[in-house]
Amino acid sequence: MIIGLEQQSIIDAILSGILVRTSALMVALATSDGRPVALAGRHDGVNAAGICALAAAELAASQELARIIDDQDSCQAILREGQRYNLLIYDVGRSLVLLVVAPRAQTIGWVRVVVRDAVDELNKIASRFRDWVPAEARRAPPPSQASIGEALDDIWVEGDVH
Amino acid sequence: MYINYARRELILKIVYYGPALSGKTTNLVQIHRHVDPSHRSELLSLKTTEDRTLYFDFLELRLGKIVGLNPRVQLYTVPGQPHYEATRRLVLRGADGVVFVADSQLQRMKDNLESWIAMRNHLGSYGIQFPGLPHVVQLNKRDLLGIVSPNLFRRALGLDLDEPVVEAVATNGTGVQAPLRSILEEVVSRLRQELAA
Repeated sequence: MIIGLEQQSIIDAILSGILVRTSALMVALATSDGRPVALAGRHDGVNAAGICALAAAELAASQELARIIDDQDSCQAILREGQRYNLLIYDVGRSLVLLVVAPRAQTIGWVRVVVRDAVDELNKIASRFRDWVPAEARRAPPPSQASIGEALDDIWVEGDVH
Repeated sequence: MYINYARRELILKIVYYGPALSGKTTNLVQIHRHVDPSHRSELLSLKTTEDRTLYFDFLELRLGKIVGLNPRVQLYTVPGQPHYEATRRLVLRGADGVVFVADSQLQRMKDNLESWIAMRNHLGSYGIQFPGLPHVVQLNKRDLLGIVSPNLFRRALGLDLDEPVVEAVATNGTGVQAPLRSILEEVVSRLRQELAA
């Protein structure tokens, strides 16, 4: 998946909309294999990569359960009701995962309505840009083999860093 | 493959796969130990009460900027115990490359082979024909007695000479960086080919 400037600005606007309408603490969009695409809300000091990996894994496990009980066409969403926050994880067109951390005080029904609207919008974006390579990709090729190896050497410390 | 040009990020997913107790988690623990904390996340582990991997271990490395992109490398392990087959398949989803961690002991060859075949089948279920996915084999536990030679291991798994096999003792960090470096180079090479096509 390749995200260009245009897609990112649309996605950021959708996530900001969820944040405002639901008073969510945090909203995250990840690929279905757990790579962060966009984050909104309070996420400083948060292991965002870990959160996205876990949200994608949670949804993947749920989808696998649905497959085993032959219920694959049901709405692919997970709700975790916590003491302070409710956590909603939604499937977006099988390629993306949307995570919303909403305060428990916010009505869950309202959060669901807002998130479902956002999922519809994100679905349209995802299908519109599927298999599309933005101009930026042609202008800036990815790193070479040698440079990625050297970049790993640069952060590798012989001996224990602790 | 995932590139975000707005955030200038290239995010690669590498999965450490292999039979139970072959040293997959130990690899991530050693990588965590040897990488500057400002360039990595905390090691995230979902474990059983017996301290065995339940779902996966996860570690993200943040490499320095290269040609304007900030590469992030997401490392996952799979749970090795036989009854977690469905979980292993899920973790493999979307992998850009695989490090197969094998146990060098002769008595574990059957487990290595079964795990290798299962991995290929899982990748096949995602439409990935295995030789086409970048991979490196790490022959771990070289410090133990009763181990197989790399040549015998290659023959047992049907590996070609150009498929990299790295000998390792992951518990002391030997042979941990080399397969990671090798798989990253393979993955980036493949990525460049895909974008050029």
